[in-house]
Amino acid sequence: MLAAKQRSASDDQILSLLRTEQTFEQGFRLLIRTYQERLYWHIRRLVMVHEDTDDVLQNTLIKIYRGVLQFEGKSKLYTWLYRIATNEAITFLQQRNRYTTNPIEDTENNLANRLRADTWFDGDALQAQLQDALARLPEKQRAVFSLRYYEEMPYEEMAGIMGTSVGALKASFHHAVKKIETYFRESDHL
Amino acid sequence: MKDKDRLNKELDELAPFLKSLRQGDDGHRVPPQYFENLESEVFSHLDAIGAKRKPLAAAPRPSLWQWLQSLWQPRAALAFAGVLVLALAAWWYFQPKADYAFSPELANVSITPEDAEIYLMDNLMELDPEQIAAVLPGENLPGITLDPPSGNSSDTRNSPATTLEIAPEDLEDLLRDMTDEELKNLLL
Repeated sequence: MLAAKQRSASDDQILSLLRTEQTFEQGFRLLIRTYQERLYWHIRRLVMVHEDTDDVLQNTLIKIYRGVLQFEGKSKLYTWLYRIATNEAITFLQQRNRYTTNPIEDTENNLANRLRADTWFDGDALQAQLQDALARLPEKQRAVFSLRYYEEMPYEEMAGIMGTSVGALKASFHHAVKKIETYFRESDHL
Repeated sequence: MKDKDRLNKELDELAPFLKSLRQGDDGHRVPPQYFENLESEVFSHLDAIGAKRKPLAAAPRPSLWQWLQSLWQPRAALAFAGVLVLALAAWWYFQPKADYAFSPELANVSITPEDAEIYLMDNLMELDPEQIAAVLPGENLPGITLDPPSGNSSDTRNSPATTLEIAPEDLEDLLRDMTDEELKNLLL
């Protein structure tokens, strides 16, 4: 069986398997194996905590499973997958924010506190400070920062995922960097 | 220039400390075997919510009895009955109506001139003068005066707007003068 042991595949190979009903499941299993780690880390940078990441990633993969036949191939497959993952993570965070009384302050503290309580985070003080600073960014700006800073994604590809112009993304990234720098300065880490 | 180099240049200009932070471990961990188990967890989730696709080969072909049973869904049966009622109503409405004036039974009935005359005399006031005039030649209308609505036209006999005025006594004379054939034509 093609998909039984194969760990990853090209987009063309995945899509050709997905287009046939008999090989659809094989194709989807291959899609998971190929993209699960990249999607996981992209979501993890946004929601920060492993358990939340797991929930969002599973929901993302289910949405992909249901909608992959509507993928028209106008963009690269991973761009389409990242777009779904980004939207799913932002929706998750926004839904959780609705239950807080003071959205801005509580959301920041909530996210930072959840990260400190996460058994799957053991970063040093500086990394914890960076995560605190990221938690204070608006969700979309955090997504832009994460794609650029951690994944080194070109702005042109980010534009396809975020649905924004390259200029707006550059401005957003620069603004995020300045906010983080200010946070570190105010915390006497600089 | 590679994108990593571009990013480093950007960070050098904006915030060099962030560049140095990138080089260390960010502290995020993943449970062991997480990625190995994710695929089966996703498929279990798909099964649980009933979203999993069934391959065509795995889908059993329904038997004739199952197919017939599928037709007996209440909603489908109601829709079918509604369409049937509409079709029957349309057929009844548009079918040609029986023409009783030319029915074979009436065509076989024979009327004698005497019967016709008695009938005409009894129903004289019920008859339309134009009906009588229509079966008579124009020159046989001595008691009939034609009154056009406007009154100025010299030849108004053929005008559709013309009205006929016949006195009852003239009508009786007129009917007596009619031949049997004319009376028969008048009645049919």
